[in-house]
Amino acid sequence: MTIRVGDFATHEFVIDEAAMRAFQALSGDRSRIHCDIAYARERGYKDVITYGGIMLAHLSHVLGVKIPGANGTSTKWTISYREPLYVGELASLHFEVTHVSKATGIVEGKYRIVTGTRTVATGTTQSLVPPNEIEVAP
Amino acid sequence: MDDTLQKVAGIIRDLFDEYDGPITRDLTAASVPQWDSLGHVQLMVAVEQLMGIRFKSDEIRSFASLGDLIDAIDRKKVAT
Repeated sequence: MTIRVGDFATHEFVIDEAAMRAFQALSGDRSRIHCDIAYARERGYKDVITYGGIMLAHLSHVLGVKIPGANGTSTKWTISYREPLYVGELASLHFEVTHVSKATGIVEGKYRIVTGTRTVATGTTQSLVPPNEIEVAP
Repeated sequence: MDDTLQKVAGIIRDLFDEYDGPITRDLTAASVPQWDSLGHVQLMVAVEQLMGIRFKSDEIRSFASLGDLIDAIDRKKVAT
């Protein structure tokens, strides 16, 4: 399989209570916005906000399993959090290849995480891949 | 500073943000700690995107200084 500009992948996920507890244990992040529902409601949110790091774990899934896949090595990620994602909401990550360079073995992409009509996060990625897996439009 | 050098200098300032020395045609990777093999690849991709050009693998390996890169960009801009 070769990678070209315009290739895309979609991945659906739900962040549940178990994932929240596991990430809290892993990261040690005990920010009240992620753990204290009263604190979150005082600030205008309907519930605690899921950890952004878990969303990045799902981005990692897309990059490692779908595009560029098993032979890719991530070299840069960016993320902008735009709306809260709450525990139990179904989210979809949409990834699209935006630039490829066969000479350097670089694949760049952009992604958007949405739930319902809300855009939760957007960002970009850059990965190194074997150049023979890259296809450049003539 | 000529136009191409100025544009590439902007990329270098962004990409190699720990380097605050002068950016001239004589600049080499050895003078910029972040300009390692991955940094070189990222610089080439950023230049390709900004300038709307494409390099070949042997070109990328041939640049000994920033001046070589600037000259290659200018040659490609003239050719297109």
